[in-house]
Amino acid sequence: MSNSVSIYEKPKMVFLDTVDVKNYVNIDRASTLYQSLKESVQKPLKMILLFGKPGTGKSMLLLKLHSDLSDKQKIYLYSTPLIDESEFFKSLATDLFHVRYEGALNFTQFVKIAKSCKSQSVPIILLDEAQLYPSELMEKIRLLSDSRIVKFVIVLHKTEKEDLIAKEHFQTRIWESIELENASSNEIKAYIQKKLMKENCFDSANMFTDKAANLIHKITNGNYRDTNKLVHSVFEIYEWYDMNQPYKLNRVMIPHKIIEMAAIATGLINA
Amino acid sequence: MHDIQELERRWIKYKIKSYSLFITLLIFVIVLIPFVVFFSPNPLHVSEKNTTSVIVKNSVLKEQNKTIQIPKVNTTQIKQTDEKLFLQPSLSFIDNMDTPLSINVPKPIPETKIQNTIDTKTKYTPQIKASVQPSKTIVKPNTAIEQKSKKIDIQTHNVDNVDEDMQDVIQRFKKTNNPTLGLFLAKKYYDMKQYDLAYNYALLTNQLDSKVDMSWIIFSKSLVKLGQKDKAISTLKSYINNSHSKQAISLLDEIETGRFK
Ligand SMILES: Nc1ncnc2c1ncn2[C@@H]1O[C@H](COP(=O)(O)OP(=O)(O)OP(=O)(O)O)[C@@H](O)[C@H]1O
Ligand SMILES: [Mg+2]
Repeated sequence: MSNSVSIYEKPKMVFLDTVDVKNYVNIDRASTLYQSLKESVQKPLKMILLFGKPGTGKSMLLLKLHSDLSDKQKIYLYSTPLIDESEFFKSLATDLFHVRYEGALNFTQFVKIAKSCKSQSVPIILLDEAQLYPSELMEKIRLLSDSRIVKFVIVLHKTEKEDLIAKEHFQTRIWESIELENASSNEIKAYIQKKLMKENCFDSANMFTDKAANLIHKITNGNYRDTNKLVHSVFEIYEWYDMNQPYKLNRVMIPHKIIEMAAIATGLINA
Repeated sequence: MHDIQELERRWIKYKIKSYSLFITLLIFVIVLIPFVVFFSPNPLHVSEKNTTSVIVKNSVLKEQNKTIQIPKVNTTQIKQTDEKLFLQPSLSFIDNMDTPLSINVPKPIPETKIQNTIDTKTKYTPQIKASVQPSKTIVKPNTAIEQKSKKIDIQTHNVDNVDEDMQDVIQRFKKTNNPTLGLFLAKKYYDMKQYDLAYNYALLTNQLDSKVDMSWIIFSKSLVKLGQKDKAISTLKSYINNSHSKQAISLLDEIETGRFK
């Protein structure tokens, strides 16, 4: 590619797959769920469960919650599971009570520390990828919330197997559960357009018609991560034509051909 | 960048493939109809004739649907623009690993801000309706579910399941390139004393997101465990120069004084 930059470079960059709160956009159903999550966190509930299939925006929602509440209350985000029990309780002790503990820290010792450092408000811990925690640790986490030392928001990545845990293990004991579902075709359209408009790529946003959104939805099954991949690739292809064969480009709407080519390039369609 | 011309050829093949099945079946049906009509015991019985063709058509449709599969494979191929400090593989065994080291990293965004080149006030008014219809299918949070059901102990993390769980995470990591998962794997393998794998995943995580402190730590620790103390020290030093990470400084100290072996 030569030195000059195509106008499709910018929309392409919009769809790099990152989980960054700066890029959060409001999508109807997800923001309704976000509101209810935010309200739930303020209720005297002990534990809140957020679950959904891969790429439905759970981590994004958690990040948003964290950034919205962090200047108002004690809230911590654990993105990577701390599967080692002692490591987990040690970092809780540091975050919540500013206690640096030498050596291994077990559950009973942690509860002691917590009781001696009683704070007026219950701190919130957000646990992403919670399906990776060992079940014994999960049990202790549950005990902690029962004793109202910490309030946990637990994010479960739901696969067929884990569906069971979400439904039975958690739902019989909790509290409150919120499910993020795969996006509909309309939501995919809104997602793409809002992301582009946020970066002032209005012309590009208008290229995504209902038909294009339907095809994208069909290919990605409403998974935002796959949608990012696909649309990124669409603009990559646009960029190439723009630089090499500009006469071939449809600048008004995205033809099915390009979407399918992008799906082949990203492996979302087998060809 | 993809080879677009090659991609176009693949697309044409894909199209031909998805239509060819349909067309062959259609031809088959067309050939079959007179045959069925001719040999049918009661050729004037129209309704019977109709049903056969309907059935065949249904199967045609089914076949056609099958061709669009959505496999969850490969990630987008995006070039990495790295001006930042990343880990470099320093051990040769890395080449023999089945996890591809050169995963294509969609992550690093050039730090340079993209300027608004479009004048919003003039003709570029957005024509998109702010479609904020509250959807009817909101999943209501179901509070307070009875506790009476017997204790269901689903042991997802049984010893036998560990491998399966790891495989699951590895698959997801390959698919999503999520540094969180990579770091998880690195830690887990480190705990399991499989330092070569820990090294590998720490490296992969680092290439996805070089700001993850822990990836540098595990990478260096694994190096020490693999008997590459000098490499560990030089890696940590260059990281400390860049980040001033406290954890890295204390690890370096531990390695140099021999407290960490
Ligand atoms: N509301 C949103 N605003 C902007 N981007 C979003 C939003 N929701 C999802 N995304 C995008 O979709 C991608 C996937 O979302 P996310 O990582 O939150 O999914 P997830 O449900 O946590 O998936 P997994 O179960 O695999 O961890 C993110 O990279 C993000 O860019
Ligand atoms: Mg996630």
